[in-house]
Order: sequence, then C-alpha cells, then structure tokens
Amino acid sequence: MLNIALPKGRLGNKVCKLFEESGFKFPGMLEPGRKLIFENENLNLKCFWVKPFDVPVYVERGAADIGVSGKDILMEREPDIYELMDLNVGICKMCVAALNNFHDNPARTLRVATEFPNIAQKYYSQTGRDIDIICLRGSLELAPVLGLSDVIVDIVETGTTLRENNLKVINNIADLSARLIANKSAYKFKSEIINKILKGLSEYKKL
Amino acid sequence: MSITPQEKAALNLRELYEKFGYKYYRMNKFEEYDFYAKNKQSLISNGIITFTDVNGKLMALKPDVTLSIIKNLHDVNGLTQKFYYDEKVYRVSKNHNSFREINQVGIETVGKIDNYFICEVINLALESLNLISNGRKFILDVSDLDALKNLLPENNREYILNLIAEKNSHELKKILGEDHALTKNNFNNLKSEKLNNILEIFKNENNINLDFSTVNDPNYYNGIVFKGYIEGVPECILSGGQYDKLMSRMHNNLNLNAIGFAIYTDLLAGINDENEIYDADILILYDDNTPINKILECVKNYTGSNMRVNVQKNIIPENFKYKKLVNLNA
Repeated sequence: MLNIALPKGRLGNKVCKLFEESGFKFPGMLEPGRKLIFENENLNLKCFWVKPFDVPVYVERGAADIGVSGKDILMEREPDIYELMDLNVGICKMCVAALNNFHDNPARTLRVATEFPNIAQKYYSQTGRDIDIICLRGSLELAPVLGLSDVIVDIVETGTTLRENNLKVINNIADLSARLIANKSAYKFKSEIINKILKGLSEYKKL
Repeated sequence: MSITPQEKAALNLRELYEKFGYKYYRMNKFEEYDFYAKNKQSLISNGIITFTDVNGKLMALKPDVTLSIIKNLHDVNGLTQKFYYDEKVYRVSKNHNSFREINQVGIETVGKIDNYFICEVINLALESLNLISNGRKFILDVSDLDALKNLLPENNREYILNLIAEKNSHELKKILGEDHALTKNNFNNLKSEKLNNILEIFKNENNINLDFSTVNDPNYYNGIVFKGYIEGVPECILSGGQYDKLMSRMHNNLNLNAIGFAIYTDLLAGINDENEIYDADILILYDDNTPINKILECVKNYTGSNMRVNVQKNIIPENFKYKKLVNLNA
C-alpha cells in the first residue's frame, strides 16, 4: 500500500484531477463531503486530504510515502525529503511587495509582514539587511496599507489583489509550483510504484 | 522480554563490533564548551547545552561523539585503531527548536585507511542493518563525495548539493542544463574509480546501492559516504563515511585518516515490538484464601517460560492489557 498526501483546497483539486487523468483514480475524492481517505484498490493506493502546510510533515515522518506540496511550503519548512517532480500546476511567485509610492530607507529597520518567516529571513539575510518580521495569517495586503509593515513577502499569482490595494511587486524571490515529494526511506522500498506514478504523470503532461 | 527494541539493538551491535576487534569507548557525559567552540564547523548540530561546573568552567553536554573520541588520539606505530561507542548525545530538534536526547551506537576506525578498511566498515554497516532490521528489508546507499565535488560548478555549491540531496533534477536542470553529468542519469551513475572498486567487491550483496544523492555534511565528511535505511523506519537510521578533513583539522601533525558511522537506535521504537501492545503476558489474581506458595509456584511457572507476569490481589488494574488471565481465587 502506498500512502499519498494531497493538499486540501484549490491546488489539491487540480492535482487530484492530474492524478485521475494520468490513470490514478480515487473514486469520490473530488465530491463534496467530509471524508478524508480514499482508496484505489486495483493499484493498492491510498490518498488523503491534509492541510497544505502539513503535507511535508506527513511525508518527512513517513505517514505518507509521497505527497504533493507547494514549493512555498517546502521552502518554508525545509523538510528532509526527495523532491522528485515539478508538476507545473499552481504556478505563481514568491515576491516582495510594497505600496506603489514606497520609498526604501536603508537606514531604517525594514518591517516585513509575511506568512513565511523562514523564507523572508533567508532572503534578507543574503542582503545583510536588518529586518523585523511580522508573522500574519492571511490578508497581508492590509499590513502596508495600515502602516503595520513596510513590505510584505507573499505569494503572487496574477497580481490583481496587489493592484486593487495599491501595491506592487518590488522583488521576485522564487518561482513556485506544486512539487511531488517522497519520503526518503519509502522511496527506497516502494520505488516501483512511485516510479510508475512519476512516469504516468510525466507522460500525461507531455500529451 | 521487556527490554525495548532500541536496547536490544544496542546490545546486539556492541556484540558484533567486539567480534570485529573494536574496543568499547566509554566517555564522559560532558566536554569543556571551549572544545566545541573551536570546532564549530565540524558540528552536526548548532545548539549546545551548556552549564557552569563547580570551578566556574563552562561545560557542554556532548552534541557529538566522534569529536570526543578523535581528540585524544595518538598515532600508535601506524596501527589502525578501532573503537565503538553506545552513547547519548544532545542536539536541537529541527522541528520544535528544543533539545532532544539521542541514543547513538557507532564505530570509528582511525589510522591508515585503505580500501580494505573502507570495505570492512561498509561490511559492518551492512551487518549492523541486518542485525537490527529484524527481517525487514534494508538498504545501504553509498556515494563518493570527492567525485561528486569534482562535478560541481564553482558557484552555488551548497545550494546545488542540497538539490542533489533532494534528487531535485528539475531544479538542477534549470541551473546546470539538460546535458550535465549530474542531471542526465538518475543519481545512480558517478565516475569514481574508488567507488566502483568497492562496489565490485560487494557485487553479490543486494542491499548496497550507488546513490549520489547521499550527500552527508561536506564540512564533516569527504570521500566515501553512506546512509542506511530500514523498511518501515521513515528516516535514515545509519549514517557515516570518511572524515579525513576533520582529522587533519584536529591533528594536523598526524597524518591519519578516519572512517566511521553512527546508528540512531531511537528510530527503532515502535517497530519490531509486539510487547508494546501488552502490559504483561499473564495477569494473576488471588484473594485472602489463596495459599501463598500456590501463587509463587504459578508465577515461577510462567516466568520460567519467559513470560511477563503481574500479580494483583483481586483487582484488574484499569486499562491494563494482558494476554491471559489466571484466577487463583480459592
């Protein structure tokens, strides 16, 4: 039995469709309901929904053999796993954004609001800039508008939310997309089925 | 038997290393903090637990065993020296930023390390995995860090090594191009004469595997490195390799090489242990009228056949799990 952790939500739904179209179906998985675990008995696969931020934990600790996680979460948590494939779905960017009229004064400590303190810390430590990280859980665009922070480090997909709140991207940190990850130990002992899934997914994507 | 799988593994491993001529190295729980401050770049963990001893000297709880073993080494007429240890180390847990006590059993071989001694250590790593795997599948991934480093570009080495450790070929391709030796093959083809010679010797061994995503800490290791995995244990349970650089940093006047590995026995908790489900095999109940010699005899019978017994006066403890109940009530 191979356990697969998928991120509950929009990205997870896209990935679940990708799995289905590549020949790995989990009946009922995309139907509304509270069920969390779904099986593909023919292929001996078990798939479950978990919170997106928790996927790397399930995989690193072996509760799931493989999983799909956004690159943002992998960069933030830095789990000890294999990152086997870029699924090229959920494409977006990790960016630094600020108000349109933002003027950076390097003499001052930069206040950075973010949901990703580790990513922000790493990015600014390369520049040697003194920063003050403010951890928020969503609606980051508010922070610079209300003067809570100077900039935000956040995921930008189309940039519409930024524009509507008078914000603009000032730096790109990284390209993001969904990645297929595997537990290092499980990959040694279940390589046959894991490679079958990798092959199925990459062949479908080439079509 | 109620010894834990970790304890059992440690005892079995110690017996194995004794057989191969390794000497038990028992060490002090503490080191002077100064020692680690000087050797910071050789440490696997960043955090160290420190305290002041009675003389006001700053002391530390060991975060690492190898450093303590090799710091007192002398060259003994070119002899290859072999040690094993069974110790606790204290490191910061990555996940919740607090200290954890970690049990480690391992070996160190120091001296003129030629291919024989590398093979001896790899063989012991395989034997160790076999011994503690309890019939489960296991695998030893080996690589040659020196050969890998030759393939790396000058810039961004640490980042690229991280990508290799992740088998992250899609990001590697972006940096190195599709045709680079590191991106073309599936991390199982590395030009290393040294490694090929070693693999040739183990060619009949199914549990050894060339995998150059085996990137053990390059500040610590060089040359041949390896990692062992057991089916059902989610993390790498055995880790080791050559550490000549570390040796020369600590003893630059002695021309010594070294190779060793450590096994994280704590990871065996929860596997291989059916006793964990039961608090005792036999629960014996008696009352005021049961003759004492009858109870003692009954206990002796069961313990004699290697079962775990719990005797209670007519009360079944709450949430107590047992395989069989023996009622001696008169």
